[in-house]
Amino acid sequence: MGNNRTFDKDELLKRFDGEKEFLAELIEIFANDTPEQFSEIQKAVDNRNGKDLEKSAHKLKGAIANFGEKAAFETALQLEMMGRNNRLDGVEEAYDTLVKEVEHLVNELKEFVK
Amino acid sequence: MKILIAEDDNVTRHILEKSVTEMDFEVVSCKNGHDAWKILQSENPPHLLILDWMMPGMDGLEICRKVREQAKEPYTFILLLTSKGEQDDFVKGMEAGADDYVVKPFNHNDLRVRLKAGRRIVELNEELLYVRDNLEKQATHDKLTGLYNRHFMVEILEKEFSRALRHQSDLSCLLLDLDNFKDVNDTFGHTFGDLVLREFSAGLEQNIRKSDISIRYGGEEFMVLLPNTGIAGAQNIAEKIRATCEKKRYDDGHNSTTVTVSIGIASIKQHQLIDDKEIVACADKALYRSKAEGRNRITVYMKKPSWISNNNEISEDNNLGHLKENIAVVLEKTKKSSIESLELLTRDLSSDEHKQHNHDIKRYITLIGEKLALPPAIIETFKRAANFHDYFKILLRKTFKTKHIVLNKEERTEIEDHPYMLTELIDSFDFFANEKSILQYHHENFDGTGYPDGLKGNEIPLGARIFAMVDAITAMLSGRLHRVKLSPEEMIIELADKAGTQFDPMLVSLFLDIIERQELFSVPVEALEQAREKVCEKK
Repeated sequence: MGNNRTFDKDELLKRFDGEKEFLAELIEIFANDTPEQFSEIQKAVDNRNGKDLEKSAHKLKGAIANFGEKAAFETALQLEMMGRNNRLDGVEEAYDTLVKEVEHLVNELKEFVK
Repeated sequence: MKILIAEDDNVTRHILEKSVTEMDFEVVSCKNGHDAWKILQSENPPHLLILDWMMPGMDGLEICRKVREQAKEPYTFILLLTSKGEQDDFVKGMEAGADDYVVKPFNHNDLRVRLKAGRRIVELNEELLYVRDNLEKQATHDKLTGLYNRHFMVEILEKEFSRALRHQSDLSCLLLDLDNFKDVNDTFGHTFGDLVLREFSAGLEQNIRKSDISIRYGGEEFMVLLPNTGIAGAQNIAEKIRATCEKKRYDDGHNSTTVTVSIGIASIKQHQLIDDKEIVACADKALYRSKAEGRNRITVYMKKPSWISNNNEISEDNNLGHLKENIAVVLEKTKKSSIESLELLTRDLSSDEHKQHNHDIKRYITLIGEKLALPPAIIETFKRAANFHDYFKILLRKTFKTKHIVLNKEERTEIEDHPYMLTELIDSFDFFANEKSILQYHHENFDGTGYPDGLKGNEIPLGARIFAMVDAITAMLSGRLHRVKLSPEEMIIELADKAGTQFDPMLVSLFLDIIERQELFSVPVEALEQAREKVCEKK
């Protein structure tokens, strides 16, 4: 965490055939979408709604997966599983972690394609 | 090829859209299952789908199941997107009807090869369907005209007939036959004949409704089935078809002609039919009458010919006047159709000028005839003569033109209007002239003692002499005409006795020979010999 690199930059660029511009487009979309995605997860957490949590975390997880990142992906998966199994102990903490990790990822990605 | 992408995550959808566009697919995309389903139900939907498993509204699995349930043509290829860590679920996905799956985040090449396989399957299926539809069309349609063929007619007629009976609705059948079509083929060749058949069929389809069924029944014979249509509606349509055909000119740039059509009509309710074969038989009989009455007309089937059924009931009493009147009605029809057939022959040859001339002449004849208070039948005769005169002239002109005989104008006019030429032609219409002579003279005797004219020997027409003898022979053998019934042997004696007086001795000895050669009757040879000797004496 912190300033650690969370994804393999070469790998990521290769995945999009070195098209940095396209990658920048994707990052833009990702960055724009995250606030709404967070609020959906937040709502599910507040309502202790396992099903909604599973769905919203799954969706964000899918978006993260495209950037080949590990930490945020794992946290999103963890939240998804909590929702699916409706075992919501520690869900708030996990959510806070996810927010931080995703924000970190977004910053790193933006930095990368600058 | 169109492809549908249904994915709720914007990033993933954006990547998918780019990959697929690079593969030259036409992309339709949406964010949830409901929109995906709506697109699939629209006209001309995509047949290749990339569906995310987890989506709001309707998920990928549910769409898979519904697509398979609908089983539209051509085949829909479904690629399911699953997330990493959920691979075990792919069995569930395939069981729901997916063809393949890709795990997110997917590799571009992975997606590409799978979509290529999908496209191949859809294209193969499209080809297969195309071939199937073509084969189906070939089996049921006529190649030349595109109408249904006779083979299919059997099937559809049975279906439509029983449907009409079941719903107690009506069904009418038109049978159509192009008039003198053989002449078209003979004059212009079969390629031109085919053009006529094709264009006639196209015109036919324009005159009927979508629900009506047109069939090429045979060479130049067609059938039209009119569901939910009674006899009046059928007559309307038939008349429209006839009139359109009459006006149409067939032209291939080299040749040009017109064609007419005869039509027969039958309807379930009008003719109280209970069997589908009956409706065709009735329409066929009506068509035959259209032909017999001069062609280029429509006829509704009637159980009895119209000249008997309507006001012209042949009367029971033996009054000769009545009988003559009834026979005259029959003949009137024959005369009318003869002239109309002739008119049809000249249809493409006569100019407007000719027609006007013919029209004027008949008008003046009528005016003068009425002024003289002539009976209408006589005036009709005069008018018919005018028609014959005009039609013959037109036909003669054509004949001499095609024979390439070089004539100057005066010679031509003389030939075309020559009374002998015209009488020779009109004589062909005097088709009972020879029969008449037999009926007139069959009571004449060889020695001149008979009636009505007391003709003698060879003055009596040969036909009348033969008829007189054979009529007497059968009368003798059957005991007809207040005679005592004779045995063959007695008959021969009587025949020999009357040879030279009542009968022509030449014919009598001829008949005796026939009796012997053909062993017509069992007669002793001696009897024949005696009879022969007797006849010889009289010769």
